Amino acid sequence: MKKIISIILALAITLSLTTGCSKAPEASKESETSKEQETPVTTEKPADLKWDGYEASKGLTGKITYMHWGDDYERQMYADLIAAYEELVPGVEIEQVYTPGDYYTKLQALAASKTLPDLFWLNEARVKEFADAGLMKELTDVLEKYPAISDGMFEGAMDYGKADGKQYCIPKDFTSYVMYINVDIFKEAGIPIPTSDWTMDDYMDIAEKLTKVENGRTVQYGTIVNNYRADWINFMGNYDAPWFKDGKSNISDPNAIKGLSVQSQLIEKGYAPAPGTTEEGEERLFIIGQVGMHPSGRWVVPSFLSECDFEWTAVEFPKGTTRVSPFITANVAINADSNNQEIAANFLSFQMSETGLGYTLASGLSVPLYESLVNNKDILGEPADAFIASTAYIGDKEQIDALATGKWAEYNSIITAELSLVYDGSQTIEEAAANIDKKANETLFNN
Amino acid sequence: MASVKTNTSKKKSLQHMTLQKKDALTGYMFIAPALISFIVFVMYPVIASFVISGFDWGILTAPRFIGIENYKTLFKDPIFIESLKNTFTWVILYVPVSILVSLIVALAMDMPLRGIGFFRTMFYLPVMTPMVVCALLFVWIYNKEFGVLNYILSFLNISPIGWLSDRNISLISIALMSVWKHSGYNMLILLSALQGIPESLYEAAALDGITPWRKLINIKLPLIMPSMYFVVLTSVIDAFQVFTEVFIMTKGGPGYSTHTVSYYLFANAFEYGKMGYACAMSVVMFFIILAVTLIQDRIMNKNIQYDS
Repeated sequence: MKKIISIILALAITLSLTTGCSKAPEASKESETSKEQETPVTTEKPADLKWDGYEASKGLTGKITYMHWGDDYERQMYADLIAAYEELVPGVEIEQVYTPGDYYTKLQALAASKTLPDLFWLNEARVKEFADAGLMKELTDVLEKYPAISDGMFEGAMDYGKADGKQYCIPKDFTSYVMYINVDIFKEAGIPIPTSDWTMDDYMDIAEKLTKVENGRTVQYGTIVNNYRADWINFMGNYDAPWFKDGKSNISDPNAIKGLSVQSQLIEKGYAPAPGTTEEGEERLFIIGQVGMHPSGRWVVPSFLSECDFEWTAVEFPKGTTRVSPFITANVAINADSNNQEIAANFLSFQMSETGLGYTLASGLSVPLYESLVNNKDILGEPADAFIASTAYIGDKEQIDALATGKWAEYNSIITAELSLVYDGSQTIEEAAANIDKKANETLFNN
Repeated sequence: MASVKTNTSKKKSLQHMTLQKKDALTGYMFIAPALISFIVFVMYPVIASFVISGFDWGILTAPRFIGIENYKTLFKDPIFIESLKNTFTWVILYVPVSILVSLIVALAMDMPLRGIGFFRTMFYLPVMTPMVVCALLFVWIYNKEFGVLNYILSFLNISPIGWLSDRNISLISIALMSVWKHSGYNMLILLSALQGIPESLYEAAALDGITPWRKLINIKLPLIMPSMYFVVLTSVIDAFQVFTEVFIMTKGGPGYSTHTVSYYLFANAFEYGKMGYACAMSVVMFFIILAVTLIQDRIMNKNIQYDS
């Protein structure tokens, strides 16, 4: 009896250890990534460190804090940026406050305790909220003193740092949304790489051709669907949908439905897996070579460069009746109560200079906002063409209008929740759109 | 000179204290660190939550008193009602399974087997692993496309299951992970209770020719009831506050199928900037947990035999 129990216990333990330790081939790749990210690349310093704000930096002394999010690559890039600035302006010390997770919980707690850092990042959805609370310095005088920050920036980009018409923060860089292509899969299927004029119909057609089913199981998907704001803005925007109109949610608009239907049809027809509740899984499917096309932003480039063992590239997003691209950015703001606003502004000008961007765009994570730099291969590495092309239609009016309400976070969560029920087959896209508009307009936009 | 006098008078006053008072003072000194931290980190936030629930406050903006408005909104909020339902479902699903697994494992670990210490350690290992790590691990195990669980099931010709992306089973999937993670803790408490049962009782029962089943029902279970009471009580309280696994594994989705009150509370407080509203939720949860605990106490406590 004892022996039997011992054997059962040993089996149970073995099973639990196997569960904990065993890895699918994909999981091994994940651990390799982690290792690579533990030893981030230290960027080489550009030869000429001086920038437009160099003269103004003379005589500056003091200490400021700089808070940001990001992965380990970004932490290292900003550490290098800070080191370069401190070398040029020896009287200034900058404390890097790197917050990889739960960023806004910490930022709000710091704001409530009146200990906000001198400079901090905000994504475009939070600008209105922080501006209403009077936590950010209005930047008119900073832009007058350092005109190079805004000169030559893509039209409309600065709008993402505005609230009620006033400039409160500066978008530091951006990413548009493009389609990543597994070139090997396309070659194998004998399909040419899509060109700029490809349409949503072409996209659906190629997705079908690239999907492979063996013994009832899909072993290769044509594409991926993400339940993420940039994706739905892109699909709706490319059909010129007024999905946010007159201060109200308007996703029931026929054009918005048409755009979102492309996503749901891809899942229904089996050309794309239903998105998981976390986004990581979709990206990994592309990395392990099981997906032909992957819509995403620039942020996947570092991991694709280091992990994909096949040829890949990026092309523009397919056209609907028109083409727009959501603007995804991190803004830099100066604390309204900072005692060192002069230093903060000077460092901001350094960060936004060509020298500064040489550090912060080193890993290929994002795209510069200046027309003069976007074609510079030292600043924007490969894949570049799709991103350069997308600068012609960057930004979405509906996105700006929805952000201006200051209720984006809650609106976003309503859309995500309702669309997830479309993707798992629980409701139609029309039902989801009606639910989103009803919930959002009754609870958020009821003024 | 003055200080010498003061010290002398203090000594005298201590000398004049009764033994009872001296003991009380010593006792208070011992509990002071725990008491102070309880007041600062538990009592103060609880009282603050009650107060904040009466305000429209988003952390970043100035608070505005609105009376019971947050509570009125709360009971008309379909997402809160859904979250409440999910939380109760979670408690009903998770607590009995978790305790049953803990009890079975504790009974197995109580057997005089060779190398039992190793097994006990192994079953306790998930408890020592941070919840975030366990939750992330299970996100990959449960992945529909390349998770190890669906991979194993594929050998049985079972189609891929969306463990976390199917609204009908996502809460159950998280509960299973949580049982695996937490049952070791309750196992340890029940095991220590089992080991506290006097050997003489077993010897006496053996003389009467008792079967293993009767031994379990008539000796072991009645005598571990004080520990069982503690385990049930703390498990229910913990279950009502489930958050981390939901936050890491599903973010409340798909739809609102894994939205629990704690998750919705967090989203309102730190993502939607509605701290007052979130505090109203926490107050409602406080009273629900209090009521459930009192009911449990009434039912369980009178049936417990504290003396073996």
